[in-house]
Amino acid sequence: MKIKYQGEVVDTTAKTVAEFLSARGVDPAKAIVEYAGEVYAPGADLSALALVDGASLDVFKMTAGG
Amino acid sequence: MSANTYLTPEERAVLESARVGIAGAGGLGSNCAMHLVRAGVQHLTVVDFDVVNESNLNRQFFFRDQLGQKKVEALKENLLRIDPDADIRAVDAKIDAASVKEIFADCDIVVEAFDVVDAKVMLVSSFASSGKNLVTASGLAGWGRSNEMRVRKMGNIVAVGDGETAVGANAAPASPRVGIAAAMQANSVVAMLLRKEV
Repeated sequence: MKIKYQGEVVDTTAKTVAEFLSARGVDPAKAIVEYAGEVYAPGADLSALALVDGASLDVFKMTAGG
Repeated sequence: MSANTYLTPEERAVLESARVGIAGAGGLGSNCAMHLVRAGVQHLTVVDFDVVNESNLNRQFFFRDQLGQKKVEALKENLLRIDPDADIRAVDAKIDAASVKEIFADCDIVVEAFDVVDAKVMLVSSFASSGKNLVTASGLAGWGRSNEMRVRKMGNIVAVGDGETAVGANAAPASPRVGIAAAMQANSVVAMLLRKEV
């Protein structure tokens, strides 16, 4: 399946948003996630959020510094 | 009267009536507050528990003769030098999940300006489903790569920075890049208040 991740079309075999992010080393506990128009706060349970062909996924990682 | 003489009467009215909350008075918060007051925002609630120290002077809006002062009090002094009529509510406190909503209850927009990831996460999680507009920043360490700094609108959250670069052994917090992020936060706040594109 193809999804749009951070604005780029990518191929994936992941079944859920959590699985997809884990494969890319993104910790959802420290990221804001927007998937299919919905925004998920850091720490949200994304394990039941199924990836759908053509959907958009955007992630903003929260990192130290200020 | 605000510090910004370029405003239309309508813009002046909007900016002078809004209250912006700033969580943290370090590199992001102190510089964001400076930009907001120069832009014409007159009511700020600034919260921090720390004091000004030597290592802050490389990027934060403080001066050497303020070393040892509470950051919120030193920042209030500096902001009032820009706009003596500004209403700066300086709150000397450590924000936690139990107090954050009450502290910023009367703020139209809240700026997340912490340096520690867990504190950033706490603030964003507290407001993510509240509907209150929040401007957060991450990915501002090191040098160069200015074009990687961007603004993303995610629901009621505006996220500023490259979203990748953490402060660490190979990426120090320094004035130019932290300052870019702080200015982008302030720019987003003003745009939201004036109902412009962020």
